[in-house]
Amino acid sequence: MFKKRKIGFIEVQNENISFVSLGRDGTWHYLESIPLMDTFDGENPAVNISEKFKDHDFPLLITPDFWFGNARYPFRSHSSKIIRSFLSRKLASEFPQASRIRDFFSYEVVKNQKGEQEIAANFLQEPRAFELYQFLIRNNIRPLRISSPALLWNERLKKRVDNFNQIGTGLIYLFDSRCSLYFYFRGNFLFSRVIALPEFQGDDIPQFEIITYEMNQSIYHFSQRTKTDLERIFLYSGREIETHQLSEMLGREVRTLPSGPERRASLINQSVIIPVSDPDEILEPLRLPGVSNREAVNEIEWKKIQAIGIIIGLILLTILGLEFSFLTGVRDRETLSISAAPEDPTQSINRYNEALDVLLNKAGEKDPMDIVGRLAESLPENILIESIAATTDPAPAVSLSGVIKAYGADDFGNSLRSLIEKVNIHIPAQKALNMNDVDIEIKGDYPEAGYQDYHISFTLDNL
Amino acid sequence: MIASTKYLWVFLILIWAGVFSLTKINSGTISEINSNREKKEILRMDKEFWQRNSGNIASVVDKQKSLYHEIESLKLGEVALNDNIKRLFDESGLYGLVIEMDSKSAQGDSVPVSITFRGTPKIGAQALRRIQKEFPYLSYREVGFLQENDTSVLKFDAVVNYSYKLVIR
Repeated sequence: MFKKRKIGFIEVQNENISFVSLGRDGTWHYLESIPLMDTFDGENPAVNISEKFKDHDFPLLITPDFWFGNARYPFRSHSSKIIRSFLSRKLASEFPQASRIRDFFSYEVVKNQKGEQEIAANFLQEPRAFELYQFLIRNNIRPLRISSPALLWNERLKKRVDNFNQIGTGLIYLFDSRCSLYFYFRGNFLFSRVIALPEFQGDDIPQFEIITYEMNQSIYHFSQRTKTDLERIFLYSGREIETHQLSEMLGREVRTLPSGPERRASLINQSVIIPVSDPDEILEPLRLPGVSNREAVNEIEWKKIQAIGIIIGLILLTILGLEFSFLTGVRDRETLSISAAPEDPTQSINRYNEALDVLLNKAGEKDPMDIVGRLAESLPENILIESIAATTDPAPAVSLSGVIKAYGADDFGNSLRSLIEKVNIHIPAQKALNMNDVDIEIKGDYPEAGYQDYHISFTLDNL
Repeated sequence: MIASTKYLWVFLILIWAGVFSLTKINSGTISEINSNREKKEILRMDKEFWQRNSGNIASVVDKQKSLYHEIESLKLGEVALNDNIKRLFDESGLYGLVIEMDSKSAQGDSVPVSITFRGTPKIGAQALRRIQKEFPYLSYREVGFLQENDTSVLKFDAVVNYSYKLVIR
């Protein structure tokens, strides 16, 4: 899954699709070309390249310049969402034949000569471009950037030509028998032409004659489209060329393009000219001029999130794995030390707790003997007990029956009050004993002895 | 979606599922360790308590044990109880001892037993106290004294709960 793939680009040229890979030595390697027609057979194209290039990544697709279109629209908003929505609708209505134009455009907010805001849009307008893109997707190849030689040169000229954004500029790109003419107006690509030249035989004149003819035609076309004259012409070639001869033939000054920091372009396998100046550019294809499929860009964004998620996840997984191993060791040691304990006093303590509960309950129970004892402490000396009964079942209660020997009513009253008072002190009950609870009966009269027997009885419950 | 992206999503989900699973497992293990440590601490404290109070523990357990008469059957228990109480009353001056076990009113591990006897108030009360002291498996439910025929002799009526435990010897 994480195997490092070889990186490269795909170029569409002369009705062929060429695959080029960047070698480990930093040089380009031509891999293969297939006819463009072979890819256009609906769902079942004649070729299948998914297996062949499964170890490759081709983030850049270079199409012919004419597959691209550009347009300017006056627009005031700066919101990218609104601009994208507007362009999506506008381009779809203006180019109905380009079915997926909505997914393949880029834009730049610029000012026109009057200082008004405009949107300069680049878009894929060639229907074959969409079919080719689908073919590549089906073969597990997703170019992140789709560009053209003219757009790539546009970017380079911006950096190397003074006042490029204010004047008309032409570029003659000569490589052996292949030549392209690129025309830019105020920093934007206008049109290009590809011309076939005779093989270079040591003399530049035959090639210059054709270039001069084509350039004159193109300069006229440029003037008609821009209503201005082409101000500067540059030449970029794979071989050393004296420009004064070409200048004389054209009747205009032709300058050699100031060299940039990049390597010189080179020809691979007689068919592909290196389109990018520095191989490193391919590593960041979204920085190159061109258009990108929105879905592909989103996927790149998600890939970054995936990568961060995977890295964080792996770090956490490692930490948690170590923690797991540590905790398992600690748990096993703890478990072992518990099971290896020589004796477990828990059972004895549980028995002790149970015993304590039983004893405490027992201690909390009322004892009839105790109640009788308390009652005995409350009795006056002049009482003769007939019966005492104490019970705890179902509820604690005590009853007394006896005879008080008293010398008159006052003496009896005092004795009874004293009895009740002491009973209430010694035997606390929810409802204290009072005079009304005591049944009194005069039992015997002994006037000769001066006293009388009073039979009393009471029951005290709710103790 | 390109195949590698799909694989990356699957891989990402698997990694994070692993992260969450390990978090849950580790959290469970931490709880287990804490629980073990708590258990160990309780065990240590129990052991310490047991070592310091083994004498008290034994006496409390014995005391609780004494609250139940260990017998092989209730009938045998009744015989033993009669014998024990009668021996207590020998040469005490008390008379008319009647012991009746109300097996029909038995509840769980206790059965009511009525004890009736006659004697002087002082000796009778002492006898009741001795029963309570010497037979901890007997607990009073009811106690009554009744003077008979204007004499100094009292009739003592008591109902005790006889707690027993059936054991196999």
